[in-house]
Amino acid sequence: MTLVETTPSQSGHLAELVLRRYRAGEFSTEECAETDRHLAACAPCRSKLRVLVEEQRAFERDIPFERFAGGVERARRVPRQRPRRLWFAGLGGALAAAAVVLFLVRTPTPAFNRSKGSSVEATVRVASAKASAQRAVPPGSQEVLEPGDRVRFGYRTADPRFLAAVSIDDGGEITLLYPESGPALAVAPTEKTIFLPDSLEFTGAGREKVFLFLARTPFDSAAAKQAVKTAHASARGDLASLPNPAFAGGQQVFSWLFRKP
Amino acid sequence: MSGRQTPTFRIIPGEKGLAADDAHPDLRELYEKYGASVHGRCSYLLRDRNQAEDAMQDVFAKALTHYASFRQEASPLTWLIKIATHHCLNLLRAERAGWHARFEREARARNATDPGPQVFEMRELVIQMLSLVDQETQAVAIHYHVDEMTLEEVAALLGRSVPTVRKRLSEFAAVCGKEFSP
Repeated sequence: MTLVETTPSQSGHLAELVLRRYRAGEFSTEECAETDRHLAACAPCRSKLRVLVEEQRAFERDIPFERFAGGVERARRVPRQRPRRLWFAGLGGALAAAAVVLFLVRTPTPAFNRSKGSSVEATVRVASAKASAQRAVPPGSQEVLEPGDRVRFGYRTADPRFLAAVSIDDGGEITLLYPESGPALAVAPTEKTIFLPDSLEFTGAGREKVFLFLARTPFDSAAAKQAVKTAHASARGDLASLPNPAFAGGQQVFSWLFRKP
Repeated sequence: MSGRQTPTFRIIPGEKGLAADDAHPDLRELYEKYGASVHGRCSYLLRDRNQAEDAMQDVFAKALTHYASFRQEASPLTWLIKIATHHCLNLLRAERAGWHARFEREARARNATDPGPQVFEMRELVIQMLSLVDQETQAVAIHYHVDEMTLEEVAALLGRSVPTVRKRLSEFAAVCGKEFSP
């Protein structure tokens, strides 16, 4: 059964999907002939078809076959997963809220890293699945995580900033944590520590390095991701010696290296 | 990152990956015939270059995983577009949950300005309205208004009856405006 009619719609023109199928060579001889006849007499449809042909050319320029094939192979071997976000997802609201209150109220003063003269600070809190105690991890540290450990990132800034957090694992897989896409998050000045929403649980084995960018000027999270990718390449894939990534925007970068359970 | 037990793609000596032309004779054909169409659908829905490329790879990975049945499809392109649409709508639904939605709401409140009169094509109008309806209605609206499929074609693609598809489109029109009437 053919799912898409090859005859012109009420508008008198071929549907976009019909033209895409025609370009892909999916039509039978009869369907091709019918479409050819319409195209010969219809300039708008010919124009639309030319756009689709050019769209494929542009796609092949932007994403070469080797990159496409590598990505498909990777996705086929290991289905993509996002980090598990906890506390606000799935559980009962009251329980989740209680957990957050405990997290915020019962923790000691965060172990901040504050360079001299800096107006920006960052910290990480790790909540253990086994004990109620939580530990602070200053930037630049290495931290061994236990199964079920949950990680939360915090910042404090004296002036408006733009924030993004990016992680990379031993395999070079880069994940945008905050935000998951688009422009960096605009954060207002605050005297109190602000923890980013949700906590993260890093599953899997090996190491995970997280960079927290706090820039004075807006930037796109894709730029942060690209900077991490470049730094990873320059360090030849060694997370321990990975330098802080740099890109335009006057950003301050904090990093943590986690060893996953 | 999380959940990954193995490193990213690399060619291991002695084992051919799909990057090699002769390892899977159909992948280049899929790339040349359908790459732009699937990537276009992912870009249209996700509005993010990196996410769109990841999603496109996921869609083609599914096609390879189910390659035997995929090849039997009357229209592989229609199958790919359906899977891409479904996959991206799932991603959007996941993203809208939790903190992301809260942050976006706050950002919108901060940046609330009058955009002024703007002219959108139908496909732009559709995507502006997607968040107002459930996922099945989203898929119906995209295939009908963006892919320009008929009611019957959408029904066959999604395994629903024509009256159900018509009802979903009417719901979409009721929420979004009469220009979306089926």
